[in-house]
Amino acid sequence: MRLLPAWLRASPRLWSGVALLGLVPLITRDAYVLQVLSLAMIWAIFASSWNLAVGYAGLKTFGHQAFFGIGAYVSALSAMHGGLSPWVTMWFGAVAAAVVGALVCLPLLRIRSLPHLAIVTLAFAEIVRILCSNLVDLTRGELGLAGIPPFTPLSVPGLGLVSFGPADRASTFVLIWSCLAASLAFLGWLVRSRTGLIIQAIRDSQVAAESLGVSLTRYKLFTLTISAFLAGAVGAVYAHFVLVLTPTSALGIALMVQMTAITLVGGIGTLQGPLIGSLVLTVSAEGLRMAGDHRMLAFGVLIVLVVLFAPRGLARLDLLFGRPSQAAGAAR
Amino acid sequence: MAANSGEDAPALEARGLSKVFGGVHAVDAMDLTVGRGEAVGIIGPNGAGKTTLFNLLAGSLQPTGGQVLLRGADITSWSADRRCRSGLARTFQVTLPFDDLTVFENVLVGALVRGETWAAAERLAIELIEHVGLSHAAARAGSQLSTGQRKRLELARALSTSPSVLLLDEVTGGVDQASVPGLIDVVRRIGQTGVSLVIIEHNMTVIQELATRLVFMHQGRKIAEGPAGEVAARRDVRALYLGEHDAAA
Ligand SMILES: Nc1ncnc2c1ncn2[C@@H]1O[C@H](COP(=O)(O)OP(=O)(O)OP(=O)(O)O)[C@@H](O)[C@H]1O
Ligand SMILES: [Mg+2]
Repeated sequence: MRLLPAWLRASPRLWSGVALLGLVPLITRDAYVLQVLSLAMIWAIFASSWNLAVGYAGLKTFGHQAFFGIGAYVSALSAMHGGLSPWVTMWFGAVAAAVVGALVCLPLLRIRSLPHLAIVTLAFAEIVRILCSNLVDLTRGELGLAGIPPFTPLSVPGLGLVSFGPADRASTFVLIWSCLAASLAFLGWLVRSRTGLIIQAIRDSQVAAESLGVSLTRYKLFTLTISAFLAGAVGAVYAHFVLVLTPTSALGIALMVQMTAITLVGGIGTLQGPLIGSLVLTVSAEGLRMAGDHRMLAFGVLIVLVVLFAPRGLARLDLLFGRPSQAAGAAR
Repeated sequence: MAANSGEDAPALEARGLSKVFGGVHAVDAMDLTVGRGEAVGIIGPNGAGKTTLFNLLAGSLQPTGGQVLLRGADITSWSADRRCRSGLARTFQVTLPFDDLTVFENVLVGALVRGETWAAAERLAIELIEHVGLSHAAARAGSQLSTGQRKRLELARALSTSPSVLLLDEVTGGVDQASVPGLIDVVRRIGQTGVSLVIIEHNMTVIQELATRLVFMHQGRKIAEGPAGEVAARRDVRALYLGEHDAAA
């Protein structure tokens, strides 16, 4: 165990869960199952990016869907019009989202009241969505941006050329799973780093953190930029996965609501929370399809139950997943 | 007052420092000089403006008027974090632990911000936690501490920034009587390391043990200043403060 880095040792259950998830294509090639789980992993990454800002740094923003959508559209458009590979353009999407994230962060730093912050960030995301629907020449608005190329085939040693088209559900699943594992590994390392500890201090008391020499501006700016970068990157992955974008699907408030539910159900401020929440909610939403018209009702009841019995999220339920080690220092 | 600077300048100085909240003069043209290695006590009734004075010195609040000087340098326009990085630390009367971090991590933050390596920061944190007598609670979350433990954590955390000037806001306030002598001892030992101290304290026994000089505040103003015994013995001070306290006790 000593050979493993601290972030890996600290959450053995999370990493075993992620590893198990990666084995799914060996068990089933069912396109529907792989499709649903792929989407769940995308939402898990997206929710994790939001969780970094809200759960770890206490930056209460409700406009993260803008970063997701910016990443998606920038990558899709530059792949379509620039003729570049999505492997390259996804980083354009991520950088574009990070730049926008840094720019919106500056005015946000001055707002201390939560309701104001919520409205301002939500309004920002709505402006991006409306802009996107009105730039019909570029984005085709609500008609939808179709013809987005999938990730171009990769030559993998031993496997030959692996493609990621709509028919290649298993390879696409593995691609998205790799993104999930990489994102969680990065976040796991980050939250246990010097910066990670400092942003958690800011979350718990800005005044005290400042009194210890922490520059709030610097760390908040850093966190929101990283968070927006991750949201933009996964937005780009989403674009080259679903291959069609509309402002509502990639930038709508529904995305934010979904991501908030995922994070809260799973456990805000924990590494595994967004993944648990996403799997539980996505799978149960699919399972509830048989409930027909009563599906949304049943789904609502499920969320209420979780909030009642696990108010701090499923990840913090001792019996199911073990208590997440709060004490980074103790684990070190 | 001649502009003294550099090596000879006092550790901390306030000149005509004022803060008005609405119509209330919380701090009114305060002058304060803290010599290097000196321990100055600040006393005064509730609402006298003591905490507000600290907020102005530490940069948590911007003054309405006046100046703050740290070793002769005008730091009035500096942010709180910059002041801390320049050696000015403070504790909070209403304690502000990082609730979801352990005591150990709480103290680690200050050392890490200064750019210490992990190993050095951990060593310092362990040492400071022991120094304030919190070793047994090191792995406990900030939200799980008693009042006395929270006050001790405030001390350790402030010390983790390696301050040259430390502002202590009622370190013994709300602490059980049995813990008070231990806390006095901790503060005295901090003073012995050469850190200049400014101590707000309601407990007259405590303040006379710790401070050599006392400043008495009332309604934002400095009413009296001088050697601890002298100020404590003054009639106007007793009437305004001690009398009130005796009555309350
Ligand atoms: N943020 C604020 N806004 C408005 N008024 C304030 C604020 N902070 C303090 N005051 C007022 O300023 C005055 C001085 O308060 P302060 O907390 O500095 O007193 P104190 O001497 O520390 O009192 P105590 O002994 O009770 O701690 C009080 O009248 C208080 O109500
Ligand atoms: Mg006070």
